[in-house]
This record gives sequence, C-alpha cells and structure tokens, in this order.
Amino acid sequence: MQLVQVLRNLLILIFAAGGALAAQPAYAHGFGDRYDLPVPLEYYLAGAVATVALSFAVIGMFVRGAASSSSYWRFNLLSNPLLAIVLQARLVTTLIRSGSVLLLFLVIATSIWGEQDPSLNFSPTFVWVIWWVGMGFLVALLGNIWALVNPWSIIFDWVEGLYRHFKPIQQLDLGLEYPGWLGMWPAVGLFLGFAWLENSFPLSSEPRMIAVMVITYSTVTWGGMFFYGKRTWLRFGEAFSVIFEFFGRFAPTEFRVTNVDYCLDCNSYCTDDQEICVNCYECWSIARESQREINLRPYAVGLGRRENITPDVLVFVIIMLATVTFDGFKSTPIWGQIQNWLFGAASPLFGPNALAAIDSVGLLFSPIIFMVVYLSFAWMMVNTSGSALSTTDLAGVFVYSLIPIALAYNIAHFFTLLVIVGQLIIPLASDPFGYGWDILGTADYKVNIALVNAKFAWILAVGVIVIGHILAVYLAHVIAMRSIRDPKSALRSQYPMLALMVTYTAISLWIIAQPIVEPV
Amino acid sequence: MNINGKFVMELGLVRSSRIHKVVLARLMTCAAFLVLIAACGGGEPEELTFDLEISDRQFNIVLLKAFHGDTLTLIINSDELGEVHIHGYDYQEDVSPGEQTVIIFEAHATGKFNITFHSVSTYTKNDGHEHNHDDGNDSEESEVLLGSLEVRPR
Repeated sequence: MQLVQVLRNLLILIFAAGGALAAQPAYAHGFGDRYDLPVPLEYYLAGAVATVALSFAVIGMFVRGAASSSSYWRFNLLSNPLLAIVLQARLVTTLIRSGSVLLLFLVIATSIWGEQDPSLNFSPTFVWVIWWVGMGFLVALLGNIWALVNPWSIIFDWVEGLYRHFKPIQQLDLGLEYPGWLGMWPAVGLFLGFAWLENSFPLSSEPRMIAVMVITYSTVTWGGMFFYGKRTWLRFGEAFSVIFEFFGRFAPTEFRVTNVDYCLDCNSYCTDDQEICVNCYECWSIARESQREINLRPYAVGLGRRENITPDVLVFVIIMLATVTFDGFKSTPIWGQIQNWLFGAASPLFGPNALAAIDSVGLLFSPIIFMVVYLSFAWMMVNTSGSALSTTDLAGVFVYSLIPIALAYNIAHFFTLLVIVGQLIIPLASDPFGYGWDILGTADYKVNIALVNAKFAWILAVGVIVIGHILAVYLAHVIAMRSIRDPKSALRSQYPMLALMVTYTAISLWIIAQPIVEPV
Repeated sequence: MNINGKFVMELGLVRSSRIHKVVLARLMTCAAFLVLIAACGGGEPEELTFDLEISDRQFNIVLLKAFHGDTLTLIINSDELGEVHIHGYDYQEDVSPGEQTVIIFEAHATGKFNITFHSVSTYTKNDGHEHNHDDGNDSEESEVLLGSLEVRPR
C-alpha cells in the first residue's frame, strides 16, 4: 500500500519534471564519456564456469558440515597505541569533517555560479563520479566513511552546538514522535528519486540541475532532522546514510562498543537481535574509550547479522539491487532495441522526452521485476525447506546475502569510469567554476586514458563478480544454517537460492560483455 | 611376489586417483591458459592507414579497429567545413572540402573512442576549451557521431 503511494508520488514527480526536460543540449566534450571495451566472450564464459563450479565447492563445504558460527575473526585496531591515537585524534576528524562541509558548499556554489558546461564545472564530476561512485567503492572496500563525513549531519551538529551556546541543555530539533508505520519509507522514496535522476533524467549532469537537487535534498534532510531529531532521520529518512550503511556492512571494518548498555541508551536504532553494538556511530562516539573498538573483520560478514528485516528494508535493498543492474542494462544494445520498439508509442505522449520516459519506465519496472522474481524464489525456498517462515519473512531473512553480487557488479561496472573520468577532478579542483583559474596549478592536467589497460579491466571485472558471487553463496548458507535449524532443510532451501544467485551473477557478467551503446 | 603384486596394485590405485586429480588440475590450468591465449591478440605493433571520407556528415568506415601500440594514420577528406574530434585521445583537427587532413598517432590506450564531427557554426574557440554559450536552448545538434575507434589489447 505504501509502496503504491511512493510509486504514485514518483510518477507525479516525473510528469512534473517532464515539462522541463526539452531537448538535451549537446556539448563538445560529452560529460561522462565511457571508453570501456566489452568483456570478450572467453572471459565471460570463464567467469560463468567459475561461478557455477565455485558455487558447488561452497555447497560441498557445507555438505561436509563446515562450522557456521555467527562469530567471526576480528582484530581491534585500537589495540595498537599509535593507531589508537591517529584514529581517534580530534584534529584529524575535525579536519576531514570540515573538508566535507566545504565540499558541499563548493558543489552548491559552482553549480549555481560556475560555467554551465558539465565538463568545465566542478559539480557534475564531483557529485556523480567522485562522490556517488567513489564513496560507494570506499565504503564497501574500506568502511562506512559516510557516517563520519556526512555534511548534512555535521552542519546540523554545528548549528545545534551554536544553539546550545545560547540555550543550554535544549534540543535544536522539535523531537516529534516519528510514526512507527513510516519506517524507512522516506529513504526508499528519496533513493528511488535519486536513482531516477541518475539513470533516466537526461539533465542530471547540468550544473544548475545539480544545484536544484542538492538544495532540495539538503532542505528535506535538515527538515527531517529538525522535526524528528538527527539520529531518527539518519536512520529512516536520509537515503545515503541508509544505502552506505548497507554497503558498509560488506566492508572489512566495524565500529563496535563492547558495552551493549550504551547502545540501548543512546537511541540510534542499531542494536540487532543479538544486541551487539556494531556500527552505531553515535553510540560509539559517546562511549568510554576503553569500551570502543575499531575492528578489522572479513569482508561481507556484516551482512550476515541476525536482524529483523521489515518490508521497507526489503524494498530498499531490492530497489538498490535493481537500479544498479538497470544502470548497466540501459546501455546494452538490447535496451536500445527496446527503446526503438517503444519509441513509436512514447513519442506522441512525451515528444522530445520520449527516451527519458522509456528509461523512467524501465527504471521503475526493474525493482518490480526483481521483487517478483525474488519473492517467487523465496516461495520455492519455503517449499523445498519446509520452513515455518512465510515467504516474505524468508525473503527478508536472505535479502542481505544478495548485496555482495550487486556491489561486485557495481565495482566491475564503474571501475574504469572512476579511474579514467574521475581524473577530470584534478583540473577541476584548480578551476572549479570554469572561470580559467589555476588555484593548485593543475588546471592543464590532461586525462591519462592509458592508465587502465582493457585486459586488466576485464580480468578485474570478471574476478570481482565471481568473488562477489562466492561471498553471496557463502552468506546465504550461513544465514540458512542459522534461520532454518535442521541442516538438511537448510541445505535444501539453498538450491533455489543458488539458482537465483547464479542467474543474477550471469546477468551481471552478460551486461559487462555487452558493447556500451550511448547516444552521442 | 604376491605381496609385491598386491602392493603394486594398491600403489597403482593410489596413483591413478592422484593422477586423475593431477590431470584434472592440469586440464583446468590448460583451459585457463587457453582462455588467456585466445584473448590475446598477439603479434607486433603495426602501421595502419585509414582513408576516411566524410560525406553528408558520415564516415565511409564506421568502426576503425586497431591493437594496442599500433601506429595509426588517418587521412580525412571532408565535403564540409568543420572539425573532427577523436574522444579520449582528444585530437581535434579542422577539416575542409578539397583539403586533406592527416592525423598520425600511436594507439597507446585501449578502449572504444567515439569520433565526432563538429560543424563550424556550433563551436567557438575559447582558450583550448570549446562549449556552447547558449545554455541549452540550442536544439540543433552540435556534435554528430561519425564512427568510433576501437583499440583492443594485445
């Protein structure tokens, strides 16, 4: 019911924006030009063979009864005195946080007052390549840095600090009761809107559009924080905190408070069923130093935690998986054909915005298709295992295990873009407004297109996708062993799951083996 | 003798299962290598020449294929005044009717690079950069795709 409302609101948004699209201006240097060569057939096949073979190897491990405890290897970085000083140095974090706030203002300023050609303006490259792609990589591969650098959260903190200077002990926010039924739906809606802007809105790299997007989002975010409190909004409404929290579960680092009482008190909604206080950044920052840990841990284990996954979380993760895949799918020749078929029908309705409208429909339909497919596989899992759980409950229990496949595909898909197109930030840092400045002496830097050889990119892409798949299969098994008590039923539940994961991985491999079709 | 024979047989059995594993492992390595070899273009860098004609804002050759390290010579004849832009490599050369434009370069980077045509009316030179100043009100296309250059790894 709530999903329907979100979708309806989104459609209204689309039609409202439709009028503003008009014809897309073409620039001499197309922003976000991609130079990738598709992965050759041999690599694709090798990847597919490895995917299937290694899946059975993982299953075999469980058949032989490998241990599947929920505890995992950890190493506390703070146990090293030098690291403890560096990682907890006030000065370092304050500098990083101030830099982040500065970047938010720079994005707003350049997008309003800078040159409007996307390739001459700091904001498009920074927002779409460095921040959105780069932050995703960093969070998944290192740890949830977003929790530290989120500029909206930092500014709210600062303003609150200032407010308390005049009115001590008082809260800045109104402290309204957040409606429980609303759950994470605001974040779901905002993320879907963002995904639409990223994938289907043709003007999303226009600096002035970025200004509108950033200012609107900032207003919504600070509004949410003001009404319901910062922590509540970060948890349920701030879409990027939510998505990077999911990515961060995959990461090999975690923030842990050894005394769980802190987490029960500090009201940041992050204790799970086992009441382990992991990645509750707010609680961590107020905890006593002796009770803090920054741990190294194996990749992906954070996705296997025991938690109650509500429908809003399930929908968010499915939208994330679907839009990541659609992002690649929409530049395949097949999507080009679909666009051709639908163009006749869309053209009279949407005129010059017909292609954008077709992309929008594709973007909205992909999560629906993903959800239907996932739920039918969950239904099969209920039947093969004889589990007492309902289909939707089982779907919730296993949904995190699909995240490694999406993250791996995301890395394979964006690696060259980040490394090649990302270099544009070097000259732009010297001349962010495009006025001809040379602040850092790097304004004349030319992008080195030879930095990544295609063969390296192919091996990396296929390798990462296969590794992501193995982690996913492993995670699903760990979750099955825990949530379906009888080992034989648990194993049986995994055959549909394995079929689903192999299909999903094969689709990822297939997309990176497709030539990239882009309108010039 | 008997004991010996049995011993040998047992050894044989052990061996054969081991051999199976070894053979399987070798087959897999071979397969992996085959995949790698098949993916390799191999060979030494070459010199390639492309005779290109632009007529009606279209190339006579849509896909220019080369391997990493090849030296490319693009000889371009155009029926319209304008500029040819090889993306990525970022070569921009003027072309005009009755005049031959020659671009020579080494394909030092792999990838697929669009080659586009900018007609004279739609661009203005401005300290090396070029861009439209009409804030997107221009519905006329300033950039036309002529073809693309595909440089594959060896």
